[in-house]
Amino acid sequence: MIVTCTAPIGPDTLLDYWTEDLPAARAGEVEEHVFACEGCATRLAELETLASGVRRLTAAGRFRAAVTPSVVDLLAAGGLRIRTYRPRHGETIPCGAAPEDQLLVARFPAALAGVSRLDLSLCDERWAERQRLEDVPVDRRREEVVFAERVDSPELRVASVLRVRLLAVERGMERELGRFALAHDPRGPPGTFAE
Amino acid sequence: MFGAAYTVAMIEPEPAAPARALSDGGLVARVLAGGGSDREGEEEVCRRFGPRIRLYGLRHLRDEAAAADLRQEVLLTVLGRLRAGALREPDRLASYVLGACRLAVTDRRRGVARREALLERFGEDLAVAAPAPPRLDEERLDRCLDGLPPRERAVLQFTFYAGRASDEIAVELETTAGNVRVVRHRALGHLRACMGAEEVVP
Repeated sequence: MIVTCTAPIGPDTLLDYWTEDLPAARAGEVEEHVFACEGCATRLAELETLASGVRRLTAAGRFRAAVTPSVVDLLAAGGLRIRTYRPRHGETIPCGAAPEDQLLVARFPAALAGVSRLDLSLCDERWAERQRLEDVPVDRRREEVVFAERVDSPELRVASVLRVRLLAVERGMERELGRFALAHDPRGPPGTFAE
Repeated sequence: MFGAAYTVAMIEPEPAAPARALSDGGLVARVLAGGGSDREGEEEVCRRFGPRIRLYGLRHLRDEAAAADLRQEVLLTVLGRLRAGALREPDRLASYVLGACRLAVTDRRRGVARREALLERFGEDLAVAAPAPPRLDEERLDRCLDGLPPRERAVLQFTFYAGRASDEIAVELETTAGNVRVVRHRALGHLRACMGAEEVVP
């Protein structure tokens, strides 16, 4: 029997319930409501479906993002085949993703002391920006920015150069911390394989 | 008047209401009356509560296979009780199912295995068909994730892929647990909007 829910639980509360961020008593109330309400149970099922979709896409290496080393470690532990490069500032290094690779990871060194926001700028052959990832996660302990690129991206199907600038952003001002280039050839050569 | 009496005399016995149209209390009464032979009624119990039990299992056990086992175990328990007429407050079926879930998870954590015994007792007699999971347009989700700001995407990856708690994510991203929650709410809002989900106003 379809009963219209007179007090639907909002998406933020359902999410907090799912991630165990609600106090136990409130979580119990949400649980009781969800069991008695088909509409809210359906919305919780939709949330779970999105969550499992995010999990599957991440586990398959289907993303382009700056990540933290712990995520790369988890992906490697999960069996994802990862090819890793560590270019130095101002350097262009050869990069080749083999057919069996599932994710490219570039570790860019950067002096991060005093940097509160770091943007990663993806550039064309003239170093003009074509995409910016704002306020990306950084690894302060290793002084690195870890960038992961899916190997099924169109750019990696052909010979191309991935150009990246790291920019510290403070009060509207930008300061370049480094620029790096990976010259990609889909036929090789091999880099450092896996973490 | 005569006509009315005549009409009444000609009325066929009313067919049982479709199980889907019944309240929880009505469903309990129907399954009890069926005495184990009301397939449709028992399937409705499974359709109505199976997905909720699975969600409860995922939330508390964080494992798809364990959630599937829990779903089967709880449905076997509930249907067995319904057949036996052992539910004192039929209208509180949802509460009873939730209670059975809580007990099953507690037992599981204590190492008490009940599912095998239930399966042995009821075999395949009870209708506990697995429900179809909600469908997801994964290509669209892929594009929607690509459109998220890096921090929002990172929080979702930490939460749903790495299974990290808010305070652990806060350490990784050099922020507070409260801010992680705010970013996560925003990220999921963006994702739901991009996926075309309906807005719900609490």
